[in-house]
Amino acid sequence: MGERLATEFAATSKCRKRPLDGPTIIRAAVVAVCLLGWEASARVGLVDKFFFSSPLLIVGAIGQQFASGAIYKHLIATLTEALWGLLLALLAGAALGWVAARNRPLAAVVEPALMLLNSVPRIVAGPILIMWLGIGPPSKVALAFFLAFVVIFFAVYSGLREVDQALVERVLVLGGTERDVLLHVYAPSVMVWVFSSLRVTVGLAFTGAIVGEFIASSQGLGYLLSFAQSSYNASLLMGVVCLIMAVVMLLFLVLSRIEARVMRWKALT
Amino acid sequence: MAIAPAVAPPGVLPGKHPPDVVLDQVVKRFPRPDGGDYVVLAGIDLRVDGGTFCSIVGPSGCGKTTILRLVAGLTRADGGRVLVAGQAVTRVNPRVGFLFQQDALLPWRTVHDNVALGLRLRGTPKDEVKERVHHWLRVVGLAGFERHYPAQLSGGMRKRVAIAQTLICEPEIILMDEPFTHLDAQARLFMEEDLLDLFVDGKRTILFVTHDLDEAIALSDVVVVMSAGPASTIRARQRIEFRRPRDLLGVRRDPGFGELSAALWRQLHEEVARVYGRAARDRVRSDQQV
Repeated sequence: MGERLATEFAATSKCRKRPLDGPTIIRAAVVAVCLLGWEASARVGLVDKFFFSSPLLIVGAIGQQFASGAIYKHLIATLTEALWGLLLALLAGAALGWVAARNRPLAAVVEPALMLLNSVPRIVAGPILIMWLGIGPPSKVALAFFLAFVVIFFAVYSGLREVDQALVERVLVLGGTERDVLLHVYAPSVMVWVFSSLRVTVGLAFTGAIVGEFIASSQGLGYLLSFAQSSYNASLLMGVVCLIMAVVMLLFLVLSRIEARVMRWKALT
Repeated sequence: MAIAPAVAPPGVLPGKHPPDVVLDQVVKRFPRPDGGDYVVLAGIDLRVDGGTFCSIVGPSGCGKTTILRLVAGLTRADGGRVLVAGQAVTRVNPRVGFLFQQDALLPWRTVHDNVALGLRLRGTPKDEVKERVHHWLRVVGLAGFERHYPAQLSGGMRKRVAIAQTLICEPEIILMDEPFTHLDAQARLFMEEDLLDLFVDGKRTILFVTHDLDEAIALSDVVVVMSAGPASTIRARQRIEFRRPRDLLGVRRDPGFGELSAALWRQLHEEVARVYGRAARDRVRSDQQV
């Protein structure tokens, strides 16, 4: 029995480390065909390079940005804004979610308000925040924060409300105090919700930072987008878009590594 | 099997008389959504002598689980007294071990850490925790599964983890709420035998809630039949005199077993009929209104 479980377990973890299975090859092939088709069409003049660029031109444009070192200040600016926004949203969202879940009168006020905010496009706050905080990084951090905060609040708030009461009683019966219950039951239960919301909130934090830069700024990937657009530089525009996707995917990768480690028990269910 | 002197072997609680559990005119109500009260228990008188195994049977919704929760201190009585070893229960009682119907193991802790939980919460030194967990995992047949998570175990294995988790704290009172309901018939028989081996040594007081009358008779010293809810009371109380240690299959073949079973079933049957009769009457009435 033990051996069987152990081999099953080994099998699942091996699966995850094997990158070249059937679907991966098919996906890579589809992407390759599309890129080659695009490049070829651009070369023979089937598509207009001025508007649609071509894969090699895009690589060239972004490569030049890296070669000249101009990109780093933009990359760092956007990363810093998005990550600060995310961090503050995590702290504030978790704190308010925690307090609201344990305080019904407060929840009665906070929940409908945030529910409303959750259902409208919060990005519209961008111009207001820039008016208040200026065109520097603080307004972008604020926008990233505002987008992510609501989602994290609901993750923690509903996570706490749906904690399995049987587990709470189990810890109490085994001699635990209120503090033990928080530590052994509430905190791990909420972690599940926070991790699943992080997939959404990382994206939202970047949206906030980039759109903020797009509206008004003097640096950042959003600024670069806006600059490329106004100078009709399609290659740079698409290059920056690809760069943003790459950065977010890299963050997702780091995140899922952390999640796999912290939530090992979860992967087995 | 060498056990360090600091670790008490299973079931040996030296020099202590197991505590009596007494419910004296206990009343328990729950608020209803319409503002009224739903009376679950209406004056329960129950005395379980220290060291005996008492089963509680009764129709669904009669408040069997509520009795266990009162004894554990997870909920308070609205009237009457709940006494453990002569002391009123005012908070969650650390001398009590509670086996729930669902095996409420922490899904984010390994088997080892789940079993160790009670000792860690009590601040037992690390070395001792390790040794006792090791011992108890061997007792319940789960040595080698220390690093597994609950999700990787079968229902029966999880149940055994829960048993080790409960017994490692050496409770003097054990409350069990239909612990084997979700197990298949074979696993159930094995668990019942384990239960007799591990728990029933005259050194613990046991309250066992079950739907299964035969299971109750085979395991217990006393079987209590409760009346149908709401406002349940104790309807019958029967001593079971089969000698211990018992062979579960042998006991069930004993001629006395059939008589006991028939006598208790008559009592239980009337109560169950009341529950269904009431439901049937309500159904007829609502049909007539239509």
